[in-house]
Amino acid sequence: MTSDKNMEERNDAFDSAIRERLSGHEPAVPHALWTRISAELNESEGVAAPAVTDIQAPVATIPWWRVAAAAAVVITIGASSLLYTLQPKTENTVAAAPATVVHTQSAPAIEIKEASQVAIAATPAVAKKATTPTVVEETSPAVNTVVADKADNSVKDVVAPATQDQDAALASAPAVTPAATMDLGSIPAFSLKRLSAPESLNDEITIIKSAPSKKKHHKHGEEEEATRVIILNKKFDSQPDIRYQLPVRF
Amino acid sequence: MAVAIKPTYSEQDIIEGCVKGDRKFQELLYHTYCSKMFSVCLRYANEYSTAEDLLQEGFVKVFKNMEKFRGEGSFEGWIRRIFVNNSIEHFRKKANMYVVQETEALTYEYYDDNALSKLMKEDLMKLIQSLSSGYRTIFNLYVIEGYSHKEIAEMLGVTEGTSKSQLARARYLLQKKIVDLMPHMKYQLPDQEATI
Repeated sequence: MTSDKNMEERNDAFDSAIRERLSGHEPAVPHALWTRISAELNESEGVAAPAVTDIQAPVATIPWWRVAAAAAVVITIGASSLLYTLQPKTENTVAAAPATVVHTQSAPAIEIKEASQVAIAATPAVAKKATTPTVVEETSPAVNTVVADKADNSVKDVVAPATQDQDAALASAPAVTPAATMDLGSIPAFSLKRLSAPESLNDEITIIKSAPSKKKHHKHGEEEEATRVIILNKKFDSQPDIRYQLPVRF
Repeated sequence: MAVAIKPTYSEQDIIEGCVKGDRKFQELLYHTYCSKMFSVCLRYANEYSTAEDLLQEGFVKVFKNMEKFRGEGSFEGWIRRIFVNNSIEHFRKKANMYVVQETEALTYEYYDDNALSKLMKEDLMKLIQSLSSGYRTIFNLYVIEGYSHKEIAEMLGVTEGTSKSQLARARYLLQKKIVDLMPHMKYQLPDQEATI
């Protein structure tokens, strides 16, 4: 009996000690717990997250400024192509603007450089001829006709004899292999107009040699064998075009 | 220096706000009682994560049943009962929770009265959590919550004898765990036997 009473007393003491020890125990609560509780309350109240069917699929949109830039580029390219297509051909331009031809004829230095592959620089007479009013008149159709008529036998009138210095320059010039040889008589009217075209730097040229002919040298009074060289530009059209007539010593 | 002045709400304001479903008052109520209720959950749970789940479930039940509070008794007591019942319900699902143990004579080493006072609260909580769920529940209900064996028997659907025996064994195991944790605090009582 006493033992049971003591046991109860000990148990009561132990229980009260436990209660006292745990009183005021307030452990730290995880911070994210309220978020979870709030989410569960929202879900139970019907404020759930939108269903999958309510979510619109992302649409690939292009910003307006990109569209505008692309349109500007397309319009620019289109307009440029149209203008390039509609612009007159080179021959038409030259024929319609003879004044331009005359102007470019006054720059023989550039012309000589362009044709330096065939030692055109050794023919000052040509450059001189080009700068003279007489040559300018060649741009007219009438003069062209006259010159064309004389093409087969008027070389001596047009081409001045080369000096010794010029001969040396010709000798030092790189050898050029003619791509084609044709009779001068078949060459149509020529002009110097094409020399004005800046594209001549990249022109594909062909050198045509005529049969050697005896020619009297002006200064030395000697006769020498000269060959007429005609430079053809294949790039502009299929019609052969005489650029120069040069005496070349082979 | 700016001083933030928080508006003070009475308990009645918080209750009315929670009844209306105002999330702000619900959060206020949560922050007011979360620590105390978490302590309850830790005592009934066997581990920390389970206590978190019990705390979340308990507050959701509190907010969903706020309109049932009639103002009879303390509001904190009403909330605590919800958490206790929720914890009991959580562990009631486990089979063989309240297995009647054979009555046996337990000779135990009694501990020093000062042992508990020198034990950390967290350590004591872990020792309680280490008890099996049946022992732990009855020990909490009787020792901490103050329910009688009759009430516990009704709550858990067991006999009063089962409640008593479970409590005696839970008490014995807890004392033994305390002594094992602090061996220098024990002493052997001569001829001390307990028949449980």
